[in-house]
Amino acid sequence: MSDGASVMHLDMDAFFASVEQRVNPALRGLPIAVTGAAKRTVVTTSSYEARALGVRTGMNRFEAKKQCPSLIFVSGNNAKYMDVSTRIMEIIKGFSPLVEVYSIDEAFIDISGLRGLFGSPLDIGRALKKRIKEETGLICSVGIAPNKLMAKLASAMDKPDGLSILRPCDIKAHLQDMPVGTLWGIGPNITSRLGLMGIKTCGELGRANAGILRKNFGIIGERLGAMGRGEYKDPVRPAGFEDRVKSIGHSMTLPEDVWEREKIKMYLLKLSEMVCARARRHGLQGRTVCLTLRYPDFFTFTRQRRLSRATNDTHTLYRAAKRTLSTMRLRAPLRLIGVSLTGIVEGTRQLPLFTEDKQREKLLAAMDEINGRFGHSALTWSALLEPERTPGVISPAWRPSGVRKIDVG
Amino acid sequence: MKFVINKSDFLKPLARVQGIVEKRTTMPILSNLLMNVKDGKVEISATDLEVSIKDVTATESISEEGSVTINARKLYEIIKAFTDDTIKISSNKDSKVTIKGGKSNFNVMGLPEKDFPVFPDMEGSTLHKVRVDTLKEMIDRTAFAISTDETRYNINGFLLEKNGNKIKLVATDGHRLAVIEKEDDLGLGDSARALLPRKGLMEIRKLLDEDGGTEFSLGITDKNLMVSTPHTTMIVRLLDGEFPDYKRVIPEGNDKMAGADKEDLLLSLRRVSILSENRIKGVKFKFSDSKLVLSASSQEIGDATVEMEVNYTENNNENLEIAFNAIYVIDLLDSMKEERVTIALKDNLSPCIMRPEGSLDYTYVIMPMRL
Repeated sequence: MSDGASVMHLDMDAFFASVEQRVNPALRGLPIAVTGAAKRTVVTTSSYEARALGVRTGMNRFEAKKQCPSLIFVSGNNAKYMDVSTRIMEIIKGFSPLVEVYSIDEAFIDISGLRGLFGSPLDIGRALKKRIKEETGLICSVGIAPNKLMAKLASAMDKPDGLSILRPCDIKAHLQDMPVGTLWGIGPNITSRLGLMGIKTCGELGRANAGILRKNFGIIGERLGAMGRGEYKDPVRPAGFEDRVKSIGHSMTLPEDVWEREKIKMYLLKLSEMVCARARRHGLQGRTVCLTLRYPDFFTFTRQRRLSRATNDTHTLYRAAKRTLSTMRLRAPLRLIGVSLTGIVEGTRQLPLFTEDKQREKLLAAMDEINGRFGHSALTWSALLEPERTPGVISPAWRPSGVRKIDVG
Repeated sequence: MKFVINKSDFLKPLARVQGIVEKRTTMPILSNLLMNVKDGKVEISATDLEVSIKDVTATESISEEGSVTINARKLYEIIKAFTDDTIKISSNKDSKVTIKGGKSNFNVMGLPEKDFPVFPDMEGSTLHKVRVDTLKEMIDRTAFAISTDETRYNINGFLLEKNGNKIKLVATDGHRLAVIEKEDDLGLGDSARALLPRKGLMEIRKLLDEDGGTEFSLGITDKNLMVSTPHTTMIVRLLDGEFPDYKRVIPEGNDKMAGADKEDLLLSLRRVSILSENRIKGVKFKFSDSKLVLSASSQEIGDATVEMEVNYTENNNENLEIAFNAIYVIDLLDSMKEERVTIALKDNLSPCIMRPEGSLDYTYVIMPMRL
């Protein structure tokens, strides 16, 4: 802690693309782009060779091809990425037990107690990068700083294959003219609201009047001010020490845009089952159903419905989602559908009175057990049998264990 | 249409229909009430298509018979605001309604009668007399158990069964069930079965309270239920749906009996459930020889126990520990006028029966929580 460098952020470089290049040597050194489902056209990750030619995440197939005619498209393979990710996280845990797996290709590590074992923070960073390179052949960027916010910033400073340290004495100068949107957690919405207040840089944010920030942003206002000064209190949270989950949800970009209500309902059922199976596995229930829909032009909106009591029953969630859908007039086909449960509470253990409800609970428990043993969707609702299985894209919220562990096909 | 009416006479029926007219509706006419003036009386009707009400009030004089519909809320507010006792109301052929009282004059745009939904007819039903107090008590002892989960429409209503001179009302939310059966010596005649929406029955409850009479007429067809008092007729559209087989879940052979003072149990439960986890107020009941220990705990806050006296008898001198959602028990105790409550138990995973001590016509079943 003496030099304040206590948190390390590790970010795999072009993770999905690098994994693909690793397993298929023919792709090495070439511009490649990983897409979601085969029929989908949006680039989720591209190799550094492709990035150099102007390919960006979120571009569709045609835009990307226009930028880089020699681009090779690879359809994503989530099981492969999860496997590599788990191996990398194991390597990291060999250095420190205090590891917060932030997403499939990112982790925060508390290194404050490691000096005696592995030397200076930079030594630790070098050793970690070397081990990962040796065992997986992949490169990553590492940032070291006094807290998670600054570590995340540092890891992005020298990508790819970077190793950067932000010391407390350098932070002020570093943030002075940096746009606020560069900070982790400050998105376009907050950026534009700050912009209206005349706050464009982190320096300005850090000096802004706390009262005015609080008035405009509520309780997060003060935190924003602190972030502008590079201060961040949230500690590294290893698995098991996470905040209580606030929501459980799934969304999927459909293999192709969908108009028909019947088909949309089928996806709602599939998503409801995924959400509820996960909630049941962790003994949680939710009170509010939230439906997220996205049109092909990426306009995204949500609708909520509060239930009279918390549930993790697939059909209760499905019925509520269906009802919400029935109140809407869609102006275009849907590109993405998401279902989530919020207002999460621990399961109630209240027993049902009627035989039908008891049988339902037993049925769901049996399904969960079978799926637990033979893989998810081994046993599913017959209404879901029709569509082809879609690999989809791993959500940024993915975790290797706990409530955030999402099974992807 | 043109008539004169006494303010306080008119205000009562206007107040009564306010709960029924829809405040937010896609059909503007449903925010209106229909005034029909003839034979010395004004008849007011309102509906939300599920509950319809018709109320007859005597006028002071009528100079022209006729009918018009007008916004129910505005008419009520206008009449309420007048200080004069005598109010003159008239309408022209464009459905413009003029309301005069003293030196105040209101013109309100109405809509013609022909657009107003037809009042449901009750052809094919025979009316039977029922005591007001009977139905009021039945509603009060069951209403709290009804489901508010709108996705479970088949239990969003009361089940009413009528058989000979017996009448039965059942409500459940899937975790608890309240059943009450009353004999009415006025004689109900034929048998019938109906699923009544909550709003409808609660409106009937209000009507019975306000009307002040001792008996009313009840009629049931396969679509509607009708309640009528001397001035008012209310018709409720029945729900479609299969009410669950409630008889199967009323346990038999619950032989562990406990008797407790209602007030004591109510206060103890309220006290101990302060420390129950989140909104579901799980409370443990530990019955042992003449003693009941209630306990609740919350991981984040702490725990609490309350001890109270009960008469508890069981076969093998074994103690019983069972958990309930305290709210379910409190709801029952709150609705009771009796001083003592009887609790009949079997084991900690089976439904339990609670009822006022000595009661034969009322059964309240609660499913426990897992310990």
